[in-house]
Amino acid sequence: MTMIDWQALLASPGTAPGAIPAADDDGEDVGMDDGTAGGAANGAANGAADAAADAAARAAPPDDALRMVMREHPGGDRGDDRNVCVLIGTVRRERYGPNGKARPATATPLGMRYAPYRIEIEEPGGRAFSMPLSVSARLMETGLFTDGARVQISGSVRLEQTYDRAFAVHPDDAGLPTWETRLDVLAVARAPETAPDGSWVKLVGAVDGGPAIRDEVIGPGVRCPIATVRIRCRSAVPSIVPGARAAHALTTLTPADVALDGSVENAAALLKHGNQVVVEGRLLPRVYQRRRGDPRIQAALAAAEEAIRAKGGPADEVDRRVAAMRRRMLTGVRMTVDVGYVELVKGRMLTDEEVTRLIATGGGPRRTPGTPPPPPPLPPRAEIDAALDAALLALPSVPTAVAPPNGGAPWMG
Amino acid sequence: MDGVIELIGRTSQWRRRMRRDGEGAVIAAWLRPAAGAAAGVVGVYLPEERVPDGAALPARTQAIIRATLRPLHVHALDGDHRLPHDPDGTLLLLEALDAAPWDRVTPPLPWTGAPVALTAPPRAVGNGWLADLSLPDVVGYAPSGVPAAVGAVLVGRAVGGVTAEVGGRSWLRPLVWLAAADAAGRA
Repeated sequence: MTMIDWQALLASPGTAPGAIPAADDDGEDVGMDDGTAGGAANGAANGAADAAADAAARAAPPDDALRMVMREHPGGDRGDDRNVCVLIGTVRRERYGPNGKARPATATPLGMRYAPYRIEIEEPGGRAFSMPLSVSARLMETGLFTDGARVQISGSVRLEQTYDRAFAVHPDDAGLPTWETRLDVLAVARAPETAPDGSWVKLVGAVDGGPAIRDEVIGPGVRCPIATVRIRCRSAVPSIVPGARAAHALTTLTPADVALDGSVENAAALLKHGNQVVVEGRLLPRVYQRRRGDPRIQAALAAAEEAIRAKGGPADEVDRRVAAMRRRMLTGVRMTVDVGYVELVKGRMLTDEEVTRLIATGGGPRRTPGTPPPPPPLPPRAEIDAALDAALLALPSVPTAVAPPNGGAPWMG
Repeated sequence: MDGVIELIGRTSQWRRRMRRDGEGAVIAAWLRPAAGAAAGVVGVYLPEERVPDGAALPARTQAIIRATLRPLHVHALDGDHRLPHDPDGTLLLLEALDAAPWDRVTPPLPWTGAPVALTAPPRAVGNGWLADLSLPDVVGYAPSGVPAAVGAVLVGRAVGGVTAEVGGRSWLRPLVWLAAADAAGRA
């Protein structure tokens, strides 16, 4: 498989975004001219629109490059460019245990097997991190996924629900349900020697829900407001038969962080629910604090504390270990898209006053304080007593001391 | 040893629970007896001071427990069986003297039993009867025989309890099993 030098392509001039008919375009998108609905009405404005499109093309992201990247995906042009991610880094097979054995491939409920890999990225700026990859058996056959291989990966990002085993309180417990940003690998090639590690993400979709705004400390007493939003992308899944009329779509949700300090132009477009946007950025890990009021987290913390205290030791040492455990378990890391470019396609951008008010209140409706669900109401006492009576009568054995032995071992209960 | 009850059964994880009757904690587990003078589910505990290394206790395995009947109220944790009249608490029946993995050969010694007095009129359940005892929150159960009168002193021959899931929680009825009484109410 050949691979596109996407960095060179990024530097080349491209066409305007929207040249490819989008799956969820409704024909009313601002700046979109698909030549069908409303074509006559738009005719008079075509000259001005062409000029605007030319201007946009010069400043626009290189969608030609994106299309070429997508053509490299297995299946040719079957994907679209609404959720695209390109990563360059070093592949590592996930291992476990002190003996360093590789984790076995996991089977999905649908019968596919995926090998657990991570990709390590060391950006030129000094930031280094790794993120999980789902690598199918078909991609494994490329032979590129070997420990330490430096690869260039194309795919799409999405949130996937998984379970954090660190919060399992007994062997049958799956753990704490959590959402993890995953990269679905679509194509892979050896990374060019000269290309640095890094990532590039393009999302075309709608802002889903209001933002959550937090202050990130960037120095002593200096804070930068960061908004976390979710971008909902709906990608078309074409049929395998040319000319088929069935239309299918794949909807993904991707978290994105945007700085509200003025460094990102049009960042206010991401702060309103429903805005249609084009976003470009890079993948970065974001550290967050888990809600300590969650009963499942409290149960796991209590179990872990009990296990530490049960091992014993000097009291101050045990207290230190408990505190370290609590810090570790309450801190989570999630990959998110660090937004560097925003384009409003449809909707309204918030005014400076609205943004200021939003920062002061800490975000939109998603920011409502998490109140744990109330405990279920107690059942009537008579119902409990009746159930206990039934359980008593259903006991499989009666102690030998209160019932004569029935031929079993004389000491069996 | 007099009053010592030996049980063999599968233990749960040993976890720390806070006493309800005062300060301090105990290390406790739920035991499902397979042999010995017990049936159903029994809560077993050790004072925290006596188990500096709780990890050494046999957890989730067949264990032999030597214990005395000494009911103790503790605050319930998630996953604990709870008392119907005290949903935040639970009752552990036995204070363990020691707990060790079972060698799968040694049988438990018989229990001499413990005297208990009936404090409420018995109630029929199946072929047997239930009655409140002088031990608080513990119910006496005779699987058969004639119900004894209030105030009668009977001998508890075994311990245990039953559990039932209602409303998303597991409820516990701690039991002392009474030998079947004759027509005169004698055990």
